[in-house]
Amino acid sequence: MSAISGPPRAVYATAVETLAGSVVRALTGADDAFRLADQIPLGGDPADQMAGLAAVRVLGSDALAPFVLARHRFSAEDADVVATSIRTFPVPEPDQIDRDDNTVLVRELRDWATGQALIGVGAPGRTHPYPEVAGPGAGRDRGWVEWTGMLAQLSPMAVPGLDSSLHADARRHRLDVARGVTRAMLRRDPLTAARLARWLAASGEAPMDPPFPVEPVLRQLVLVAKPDHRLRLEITIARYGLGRRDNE
Amino acid sequence: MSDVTPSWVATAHQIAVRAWSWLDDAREHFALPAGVSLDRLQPNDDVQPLGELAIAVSVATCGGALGSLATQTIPALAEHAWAQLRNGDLLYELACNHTIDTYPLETYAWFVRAGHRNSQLDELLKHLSSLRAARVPEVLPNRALAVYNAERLLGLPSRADPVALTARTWLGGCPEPWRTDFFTLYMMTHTVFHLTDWGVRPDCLPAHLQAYLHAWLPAWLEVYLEAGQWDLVGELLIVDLCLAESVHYPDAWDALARAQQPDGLLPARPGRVPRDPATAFHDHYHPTIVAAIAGSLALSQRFAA
Repeated sequence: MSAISGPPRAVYATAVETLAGSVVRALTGADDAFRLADQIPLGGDPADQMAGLAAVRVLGSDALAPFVLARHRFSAEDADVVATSIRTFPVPEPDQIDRDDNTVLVRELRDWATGQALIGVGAPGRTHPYPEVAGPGAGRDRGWVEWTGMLAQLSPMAVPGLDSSLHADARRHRLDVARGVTRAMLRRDPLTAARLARWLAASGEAPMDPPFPVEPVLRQLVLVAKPDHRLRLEITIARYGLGRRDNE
Repeated sequence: MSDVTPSWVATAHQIAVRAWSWLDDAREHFALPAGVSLDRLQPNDDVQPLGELAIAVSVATCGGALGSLATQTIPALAEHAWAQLRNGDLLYELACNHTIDTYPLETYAWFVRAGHRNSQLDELLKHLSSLRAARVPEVLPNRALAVYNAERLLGLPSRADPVALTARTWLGGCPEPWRTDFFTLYMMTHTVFHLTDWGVRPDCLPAHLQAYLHAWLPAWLEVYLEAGQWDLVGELLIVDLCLAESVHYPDAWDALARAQQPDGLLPARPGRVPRDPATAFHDHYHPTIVAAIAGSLALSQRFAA
């Protein structure tokens, strides 16, 4: 019997929450022996295994953050988990998706970030090319609301040390990102607010005129938003960008 | 209007014409309640609609492109409202009897802006503003700016320091733009209206506050457009028009036009408008006045080029 029961969607959501909680503990020092392989019981209950692999795909390169940001040791078993998750949940071919939005682009960029994270932990072999269409100004033509919506979906890219045309756009258009944070906060959408705050934090606090300090946003979310492991993960990684590794 | 008129101005023109048409049709509702004694008049419910009509008139008659509306219909509405206040005598009596209230002064200033005066009231207000009590009104900072602008419009020697008053407002503190709400933004809009005298003196809004508003108005507009809070959307668009360099936000003007009913009423928020004209007036006269002010201000000479 599956250890996590309920409708499939709820089972997957729970698996993502659980994995996010483990990653947060690893990033904040509460768990000094994080292993991705321990999170996914390969060979265990097939339903749990599928949910666990899906969770790795959903968190993308954030599932590797303990290795990239907090220097946990990345093992061959961890690499196996990542490879299996990608094989199990591949990126759909563009012609499989009939949508006039950024769905395919977002998935390709997230896989690029995962490939870069693997390179960062010394395990290349799953690299994904940076999509040509994600060059300078990608998505900007749809206005700041749509563009920041895309950035929020791409928050796993917003980590210290990773750079691309999209990162350059995010630095160049900090005010638009800050508007996106503001809009999300006022819409009481803390997850989107935290994801966009990550983009502002990725290159550290930078002076803006008018000022828009990121740490107060993160602090507000910690104190006011409903506790949620995924939200906590976004906030924790944002604080790595700001050079703060505590969980206060 | 010429062929080169920007689309947002054409939209604003349509909004203004429709709003003024509704306000003219609703003239009978701009009235003090019958048989209510002076001490039972409600400042917000009874007197404020007349004052707000006056400020809208004063903005519209300063602008252009409204044709006979601006020269006949709109001034006639101000005359109607002024007559309701017994050509200012009622404001005089209110000012005599209500020591702490500033609204008789503020309401009068709006009528003065629209071209009406009452010499007895002028004399009383001149005396009251010279008292030490006038230096320390117990009001919110944005309200103190309203008093400051009213005294300025009346030609009274105000001793308030607009720079110090502005610094005490929410806007003056340049707060985190995400730490706000409907009513805080409503007060922010009025800080701008009073400081700039409804867009007549845009340079009286300090440069750093203009930059602050340019930065965050787009985010606030987006949030309240999505929520269909047309009252606040209209006020935020007026704020934009009060800046030295307005942005105009054509999408927001289009949304406001779509929200406006064919008869010109602008609902305050999504939902059914009451069929009863008196209830519809009570619930939605204010956003419709906001629509009239926004649309009329957009047609002013500042934006003619």
